[in-house]
Amino acid sequence: MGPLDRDTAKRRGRHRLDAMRRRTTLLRERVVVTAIVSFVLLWAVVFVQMATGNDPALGPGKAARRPAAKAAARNPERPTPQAAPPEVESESEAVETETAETEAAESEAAESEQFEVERLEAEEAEAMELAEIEAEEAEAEELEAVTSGQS
Amino acid sequence: MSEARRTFECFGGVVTIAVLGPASMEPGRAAASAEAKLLAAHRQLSRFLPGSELSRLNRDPRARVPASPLLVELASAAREAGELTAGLVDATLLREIEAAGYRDSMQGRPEADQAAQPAASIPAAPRSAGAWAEISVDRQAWTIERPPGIGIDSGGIAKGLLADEAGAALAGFPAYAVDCCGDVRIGGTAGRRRPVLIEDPFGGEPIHTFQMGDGGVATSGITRRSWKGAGGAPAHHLLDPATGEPAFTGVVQATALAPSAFLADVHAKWALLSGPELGPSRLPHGGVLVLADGSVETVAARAPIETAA
Repeated sequence: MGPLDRDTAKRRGRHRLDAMRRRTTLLRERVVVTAIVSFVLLWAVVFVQMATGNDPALGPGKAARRPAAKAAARNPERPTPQAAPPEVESESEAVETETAETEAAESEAAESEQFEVERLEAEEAEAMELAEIEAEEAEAEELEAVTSGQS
Repeated sequence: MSEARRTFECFGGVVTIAVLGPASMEPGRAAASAEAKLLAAHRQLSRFLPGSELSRLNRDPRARVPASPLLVELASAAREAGELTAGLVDATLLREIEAAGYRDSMQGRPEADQAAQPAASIPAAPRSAGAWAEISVDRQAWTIERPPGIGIDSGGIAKGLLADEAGAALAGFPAYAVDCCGDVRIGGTAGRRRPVLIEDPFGGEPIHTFQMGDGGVATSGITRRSWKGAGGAPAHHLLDPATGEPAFTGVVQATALAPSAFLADVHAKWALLSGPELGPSRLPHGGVLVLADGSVETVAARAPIETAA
C-alpha cells in the first residue's frame, strides 16, 4: 500500500476523532450550563425566601436556637426567648431539604456528565487505535494485478 | 470491502473488470453493468460486424452522418490520435489493413512466426495527406463529417476509449481496473496502487511490473494479430501510414503509461511506429519497449500523470 492509502485511513480516523471531539465539547458545554442554571435557581429560591421575610437564619431553626440556648445557660435569670411556632419551623426545614435535594441532583448530573466525557475519551482512543489497525490492514492487502498485453 | 471481478470475451480478446468497494456500494452489480455496456459498445463499434453502427458509417455515402454519442467520440478520438502523433497513428487506414489481410477478428487463428521478420527496420512515417485530418464531429447535432469512402478502424483506438468510458462509470468506487484486451484504465477514490504486469511479446514471464493508482496503461505490438501475407511474408495490424504496409521499425512491443487508457494506447502505437531511436521520446509518462533483438528498454517518466478529476 502506498502513502495515499495510509493518508486515507488516517483521514478517516481524523474524521471520527473530530466527531467525537465535537460531542465532548458539547457535553462540556452542557455541564457548565447545567451548573450555572442550578446555581442561579438555587440562589433565586433563597432570594425569594429572603424577600418574603422567611430568612432561615432568622427563623427558629437549629442555628437560631443554639445561640439562644447558650445565652440562657450563661444567664439563667434571663428569661428564655419563646420558641417559634411549629408551622414556621417546618417551613424552614422544608427549604433546607429542598436545597439539599437540588445540590444532590446537581452533583449527580455533573458526575454523570463527567462519566460520559470519560467514556467518550476512551472511545476516542479506541477509534484512534482502530484507524491505525485499518491503515495497517489496507497496507498489507495489495490489489490484484492486471495484465497489459498487446491489444 | 471486497473486489468484484468479471472476465469475458469482447473486442476479439479478453476483458477484465475489477471493482473494489464495500458491499453497500454493490461492486458486483457495477462490474456486471460495465460488462453489459462494453458488450453493447462492441456490437456498436466492431468493424467485423456488418450491422454495427461503425460499419454502417464506413459504408455511408453521405458526407455528414448522424451518429450516436459513442460513435461521435470514436471519430473524434481518431482525429485526436492523428493530431497528437502528427499522423503517425492513423485510424483511417481501414482499406489498407483489409488489403493487407486483416478482415476478421482472427480469434483462434495461429500467430505468424515472428522469427521471420524482415531484416531491415525502418521507422514509420505519416501520410502526406492523412484522411484523419478531414474528420470533424458536431456534438450539438451528433453528426460525423468526413469524405465518403474513408473507413475508420476502431481496432486501434476503441479499446482504450471504452476502458476510459467504463472507468468513468466506476470512478466513485475506492478502486477499480478495466482491462480491455491490454488497454487498462485504473482509478478509484482511495488512490490505491495496483500492480500492472507487462506481458512478454514472446510468451515468457512478465517483463515488467508498474504500480499505478490512477491512469492508463496500454501495450501495442506486432507479435499478436499477425499473419502470413502475400508470399508468406509476416504481416501484422500496425501499418506504416506512408506505405500502407505492416511496419517493421525495430520495436516489437511498446507499453505506455498515460493519464487515460486512450492516450496510453496512442502513445504506445506512436512509440512502436517511431522505432527504437525516437520511441522513448514518445513515452512522456514512462513505459517499456521491447526491441526486435529481444532486449527490453524501460523508459522513465518525464512528466507525472495527471488525470482529470
